[in-house]
Amino acid sequence: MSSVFKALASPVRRRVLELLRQRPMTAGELAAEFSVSKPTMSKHFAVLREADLVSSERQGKSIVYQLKLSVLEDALLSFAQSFGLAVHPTEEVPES
Amino acid sequence: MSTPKLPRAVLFAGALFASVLLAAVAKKTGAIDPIMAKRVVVAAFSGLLVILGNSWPKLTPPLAARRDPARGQAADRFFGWVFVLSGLILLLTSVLAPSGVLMPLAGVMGMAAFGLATIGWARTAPGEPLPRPDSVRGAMLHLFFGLFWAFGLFLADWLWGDAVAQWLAIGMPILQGSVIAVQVTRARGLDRA
Repeated sequence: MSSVFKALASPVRRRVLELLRQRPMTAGELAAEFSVSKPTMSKHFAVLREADLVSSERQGKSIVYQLKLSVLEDALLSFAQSFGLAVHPTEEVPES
Repeated sequence: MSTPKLPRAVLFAGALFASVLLAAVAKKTGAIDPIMAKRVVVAAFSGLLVILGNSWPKLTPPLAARRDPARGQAADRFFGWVFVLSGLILLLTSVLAPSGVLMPLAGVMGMAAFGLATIGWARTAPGEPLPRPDSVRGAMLHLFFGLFWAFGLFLADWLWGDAVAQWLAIGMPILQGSVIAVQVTRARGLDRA
């Protein structure tokens, strides 16, 4: 469970999960929503995968991410977002 | 050599089923009164509904198995939330409801949860393929089916009495067997395709 809290502690990762709530997206589509470097985004994806909050599949040259949240984790994400910690997609986010 | 660990959800489900059996034995032997036994049974089934509903959206099928991944994902989330919230309300009901209305209330609420989940699924992801029978989701669907039948029995017992409820209980394994047969046949068809 601690890996879940660690994953949800970052506004970037919460925003990634929010975007994935709409539909599965490629790594490129997700990275385009943030003004952070690709290696940094890769680290965020790795933390989310480690916490088992997303799953990834290779489709051709792209890696597609989809949400993998239990209802409790979904509620935790909403709880974290409701405290005004949400970020706008283009907003520069300091590293956690 | 390491021993494989049982998933936590399976252990919870086993404990809940054991509590139902214990409640039945305790009622027969007079260790607890019939109302308390009913409360334990409703609470155990509600707990199982919460556990299954919580896990459902996490067990995502591969993207290729979905007709429309976005709608399929939305349907899974709706399905999970309906069962978790219904299960929690039913848990409260098992503790707080007056003894006279406990079983019919649990029956109506349980059936309503399944009705809502089915309508939501049909509206959000029409034509989304059912999971393969060898998947965990396939096994969970059978547990959901069992719970649906259990809440139906609560209601039938109150409406028509023991005789009808007993016949319905006999019908359950026959229907469940038919569902498994359809799933297996379909899976073999998919494998050959």
